[in-house]
Amino acid sequence: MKFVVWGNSHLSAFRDAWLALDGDKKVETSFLPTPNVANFSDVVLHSSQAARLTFPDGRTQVVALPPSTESCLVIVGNGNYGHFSTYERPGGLPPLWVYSPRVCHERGVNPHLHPSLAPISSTLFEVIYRDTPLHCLLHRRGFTPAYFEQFLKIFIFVSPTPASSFFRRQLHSFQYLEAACLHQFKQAYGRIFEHQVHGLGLRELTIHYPLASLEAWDGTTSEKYLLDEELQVHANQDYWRQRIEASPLMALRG
Amino acid sequence: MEVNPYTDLPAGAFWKTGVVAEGLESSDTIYKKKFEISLQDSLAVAGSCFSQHVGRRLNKNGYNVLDLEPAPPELPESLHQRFGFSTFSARHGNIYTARQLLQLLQEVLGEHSPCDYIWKKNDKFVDALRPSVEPDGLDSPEEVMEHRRYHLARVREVFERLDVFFFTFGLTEMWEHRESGTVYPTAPGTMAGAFDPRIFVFRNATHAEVLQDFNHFQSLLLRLRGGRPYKLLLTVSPVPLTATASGQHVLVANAYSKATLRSVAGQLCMDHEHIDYFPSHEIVFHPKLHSRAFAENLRSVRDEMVEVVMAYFFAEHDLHGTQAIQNCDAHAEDLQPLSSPAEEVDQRTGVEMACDEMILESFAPPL
Repeated sequence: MKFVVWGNSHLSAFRDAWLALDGDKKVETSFLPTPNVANFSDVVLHSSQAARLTFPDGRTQVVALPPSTESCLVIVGNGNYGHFSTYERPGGLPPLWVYSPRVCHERGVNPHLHPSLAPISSTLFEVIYRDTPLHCLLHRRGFTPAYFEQFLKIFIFVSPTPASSFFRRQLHSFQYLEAACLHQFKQAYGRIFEHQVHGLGLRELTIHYPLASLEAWDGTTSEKYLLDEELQVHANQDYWRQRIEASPLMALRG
Repeated sequence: MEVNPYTDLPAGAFWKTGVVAEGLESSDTIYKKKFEISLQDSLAVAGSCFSQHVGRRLNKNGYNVLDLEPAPPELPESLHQRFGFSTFSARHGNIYTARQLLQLLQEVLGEHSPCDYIWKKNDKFVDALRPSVEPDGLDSPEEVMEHRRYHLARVREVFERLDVFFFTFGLTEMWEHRESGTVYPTAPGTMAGAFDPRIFVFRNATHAEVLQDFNHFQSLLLRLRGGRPYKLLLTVSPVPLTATASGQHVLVANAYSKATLRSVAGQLCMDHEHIDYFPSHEIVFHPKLHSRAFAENLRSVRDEMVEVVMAYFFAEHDLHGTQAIQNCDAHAEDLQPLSSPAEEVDQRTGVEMACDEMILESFAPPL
């Protein structure tokens, strides 16, 4: 099996993990950093056999692409559950609290301790977020369902959940995590994401989410799996290794 | 001619000159303000569905209208109304009666706990005290309680922060929980819930009850604010009742309701220096309009007419020194009879109006 792997800033650590898993054998894989694919339209719309990458420092690189009819498509992050597109919205969306008494109870959270959080109903949440999954998966970059359908199988690895420090900083809130909002947010957004993405009718589609074992109690990625960076949204190679190993991709790698 | 008390009165004091002869737009005496409102004043808006027009236009004209439960930034403006945002100063939906207003403040102060206020709507749950703010309802009773808890905190903030409260009286008719006295903005079984006459009872408030409720509200408001004074602008919604459960013809029931509310508003205005009355009801029912102020359903006030009504307000409360009734885009006397079906839509803003009681129309017998 051959693999075509598209990704954004998460691709680098994923690639390191993927290659490290190769061992003695060489799995034929083409890595495509989405923002750097200069001939994006040729690749996605016109089945180009090669991707031309350009980098900010002027370097260029040509990546040969295997026939899609013999390959798996893998999407890594690429804005799906991205920190900017999903958790932190342009326009400063306030913390969204999809209230679930059960989750609060299970986590020993007293919602009355957090009076400033505006509760959001599932209907309102859906109205706000219903266009987000397909915008991130397709429209933002210019992917099409037809392009995805050319491949034998499709795997979407959604982005790692950002770190707790990210939420505390970007959402100006200490309450968001303590009130178990993130778990509820992920559940609510997950329902919309699944509905919208599966609604495309793509064959052989697998969506792979962050493993609970890689996350802290509050639903953020555990610190030991994060890259040492200011933004605190990118995971390290160990993180991606565990996600790859837990996914059906391992069996396909042979 | 002998001098008598009517000798030197202005044209507006006489029906012949003030109503028959004077054009609606040229009359500048229908409303004379009692006090100033400044740009710095924080306005809170509440009341029946007509007050949605008021709030929107106050905002548009640069008034500092409080909005303490704002819509999430990414919710399209066209959907704000549907979820009860950007309509009033908090997300309380329409407050039709003085009792409902009093009850809300009592609840804020912890002096009243509403009973039987979580009603089922299909497999969802609705806050019966503001049933229109979540059109599909919420997922659990606990969620309704949690949303209400947050809402009450915001309402408290509105009452604490306001300098001017613009309240529109809408109805005297209401549905009450027999045992607890909790009143609801809509009848059980219409938007949600189920009607059981052993649990719910119809009430039609008298002048004395409305006055008592409103004065009680005022005393609680002053207490909440630690005695800090405020100003009150009252008006009576010109929108007639959609339906009545009083047993009377709706025309008669409507006259009772509006007359009672108008009388209470008038008395409050006479009794209190800090209360002013704005005559939106009178302007809309001006005889020269021959009901053209209304849409084809003879109930919804046409958007052009709302412009005229508010022009009277802005002519008196002229923040920018540019307002005059004559400058109003719409002219009441130019209103033509409608030929298109009436819609509950603010034509100028394209915003749908949320009138909970409109749902009662669907229970009317077929024509």
